[in-house]
Amino acid sequence: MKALSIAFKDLQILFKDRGDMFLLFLLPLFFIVVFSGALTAIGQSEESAKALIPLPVVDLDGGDAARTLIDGLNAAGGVRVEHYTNQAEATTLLKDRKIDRALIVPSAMGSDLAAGRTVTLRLVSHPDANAGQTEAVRLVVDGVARDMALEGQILAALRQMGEMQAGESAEYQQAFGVEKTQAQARSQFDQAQARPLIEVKQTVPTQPEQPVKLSSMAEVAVPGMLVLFAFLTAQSTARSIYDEKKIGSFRRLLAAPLSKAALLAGKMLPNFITALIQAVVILAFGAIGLQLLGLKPVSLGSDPLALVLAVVLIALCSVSLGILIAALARTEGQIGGIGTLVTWGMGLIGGSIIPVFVLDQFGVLPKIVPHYWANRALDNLMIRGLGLADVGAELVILLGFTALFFVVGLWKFDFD
Amino acid sequence: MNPVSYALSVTWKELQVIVSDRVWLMILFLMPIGFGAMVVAANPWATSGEAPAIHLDVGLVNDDAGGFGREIAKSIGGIQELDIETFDARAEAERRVQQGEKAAAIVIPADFSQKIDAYTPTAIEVIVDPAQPQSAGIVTGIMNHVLAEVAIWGEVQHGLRAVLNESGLLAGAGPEQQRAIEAQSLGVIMTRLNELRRNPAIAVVSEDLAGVETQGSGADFLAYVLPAFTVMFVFFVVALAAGTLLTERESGTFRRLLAAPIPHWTIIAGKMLAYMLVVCLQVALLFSMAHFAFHMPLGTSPLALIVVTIGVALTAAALGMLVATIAKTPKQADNIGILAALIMAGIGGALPVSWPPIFRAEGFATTLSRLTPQAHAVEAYFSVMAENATLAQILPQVGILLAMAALFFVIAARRFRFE
Repeated sequence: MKALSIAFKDLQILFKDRGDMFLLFLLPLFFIVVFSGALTAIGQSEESAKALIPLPVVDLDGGDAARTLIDGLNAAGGVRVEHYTNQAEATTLLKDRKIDRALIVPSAMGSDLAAGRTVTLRLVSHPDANAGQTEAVRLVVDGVARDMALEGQILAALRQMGEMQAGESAEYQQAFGVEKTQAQARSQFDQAQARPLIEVKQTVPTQPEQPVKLSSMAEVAVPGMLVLFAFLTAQSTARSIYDEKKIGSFRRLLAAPLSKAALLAGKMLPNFITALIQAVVILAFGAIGLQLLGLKPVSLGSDPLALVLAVVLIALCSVSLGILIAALARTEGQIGGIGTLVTWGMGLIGGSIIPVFVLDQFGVLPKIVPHYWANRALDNLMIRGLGLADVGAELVILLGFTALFFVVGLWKFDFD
Repeated sequence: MNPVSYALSVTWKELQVIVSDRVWLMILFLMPIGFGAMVVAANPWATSGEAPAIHLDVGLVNDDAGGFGREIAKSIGGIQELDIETFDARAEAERRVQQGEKAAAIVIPADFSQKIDAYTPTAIEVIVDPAQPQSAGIVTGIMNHVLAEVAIWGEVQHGLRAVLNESGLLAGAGPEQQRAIEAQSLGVIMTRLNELRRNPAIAVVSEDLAGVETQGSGADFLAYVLPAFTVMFVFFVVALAAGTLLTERESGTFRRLLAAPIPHWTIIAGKMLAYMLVVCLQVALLFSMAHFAFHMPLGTSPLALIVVTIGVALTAAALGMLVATIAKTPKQADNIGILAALIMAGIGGALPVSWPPIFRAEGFATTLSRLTPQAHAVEAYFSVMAENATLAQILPQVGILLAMAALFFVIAARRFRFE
């Protein structure tokens, strides 16, 4: 009961502080909006999102081959061909950076291709042109060129085979006549465009017939920010203990007929409740708020009970981290500094900002912070749609961190 | 004592206070290094300039008894980026993906070869982990590549059959003989084709005006991400500056300074100079680390970098003064300073989460970002480093930074109470 009244009083103090309120409740929502790329998407028109990069093409060939290439480039998407026939003109424009880059189609492209000589397409860029765009253009040109080359090579292989059969029977020669094989090949090229022989079909586990929905940036951001900010409340726990120690009311509390453990529990409870409210706000924002902003909502998974349990354990772990920080820090400045450093640093290496699966390449490092396990548990529940049984290990490890922080905190805690 | 040397002595004292605060030093110097290093390490392609050095754990289930399935299993086994583990049952592979242990599982269906032989469209299933969209994209991309090769065989084989059937050449032959003729012709064509493909028929080279091959986009990525993190953490100095100023006012040392026979502005100028020096030091340290450790480009105009940095430093210091006039207690100054730094970083594109950078995009977010000094600072650094901009080309950004600094300073000066 007494622990409860301490908790209630602390909550009242906390909710009076507008700065803290902002930090704990609004900042995570702001971060989710930033990290999900939603901010960038607001007000951006469909066309500008798919803006085509202008690609000046200097066509020195002027024949069918060059035309096929240019049609292919326009059809590939990503670039919009601007036609030039005069190389000197394009070079001047390029030097003055009136255009950023130009693709030079050599004069003998058609005949070189027919003769089996390698044709080199040169993508010339101004040195200050955006290299990312240049690379994107190169990939598009490369893809179109490769398809064109393959078709040409298949036709050439057929032609060579026809020539090899000069000594064969007339029947055979007729069957493999150049016209026949080439006509067959061309009809198949067209068909393959519309109906590929072999396709890749993406599925997700347990739902082979459902269309695949890969996690969006928001779906990665919501659990990540929940974990990051839940652990930021550790700083508030530490600070409220420090404040009380500073003005001496802690000593007065100690004089009360209350065990030290009950006292600490009372100090933990308000921030535990705060962390829970915070989690509810963040999840509600993910499930409902994003929708109000016109974005796709985030799934909360299929096991609400497991999600509640995971959130409770994360909040518990956060408050015991707060006790540990309060026990180790000596001044208010240290709580602010150490608290910030520890909570943001742990969030960074624990997968709140960089997704967990990317972190796996760093070996054991991410695994030494509770954030990693918290993020894994939430990812499994919310993104992969798994149940309690599949996050058992993560939750037990979180509980282990909680116990460790609390015991070390209690041991190092200076009650006077 | 003349005002300038008095201001400098205030600066010197302030710097000593800052240096003695180890935690703040860590926030200002170590955290951005940590953030930058993690992001660079997570994108190894950016520094190596080569294809991503990744290893994905992938499961393989081959239910196909035919040659095409075997061929695919063999070729994906030889792909460096994939660590393949073979499973007998689809269910087991699926479970591993579901648990997040495998990035994806490739399932070759039982009738795969049969369908290709019959020229009926077929598909290979790639079971992906919804929590790893990037890995899913990579595995699917690799499979598209591998399957394209198999599809060529399938297409050529079908074409050959069509030609042979039409010719009536096979009319008198038994099934054994038919297969032999077919196989022989297919062998000849594919051998020819593979020989032709050894030399690229069309090569694409990317070069600059002088005909030198250009570098990849990794340098661009670094020239955005690393300065962005630097700018984000530079503005944390706002919280430190405002906090220290208010602590001093609370403890009354300010009053003592005012009693000295010097103009009041020298105190403020001295303090601002100290925080500007901290910012310059931050930028110098982080940029040289980024340059030497991660090969971040620095552009061709060191002068432009220096001018931008001074502009950023002035803006951050002036914002610190402004926050000091808004906050009532040191703790509030801390909170407002950190919040402002984080939120402005988010709006201004100094939290590098999307590509292209916000200032190179269009729309509402870009317009909004222009209200923050961060956006102009990051854009100026990016222009100099990635696009070899000169001082003249980034003067607009520098001008806006200075205007913002002046605005912050004027408001702060009007509101500031020394006691």
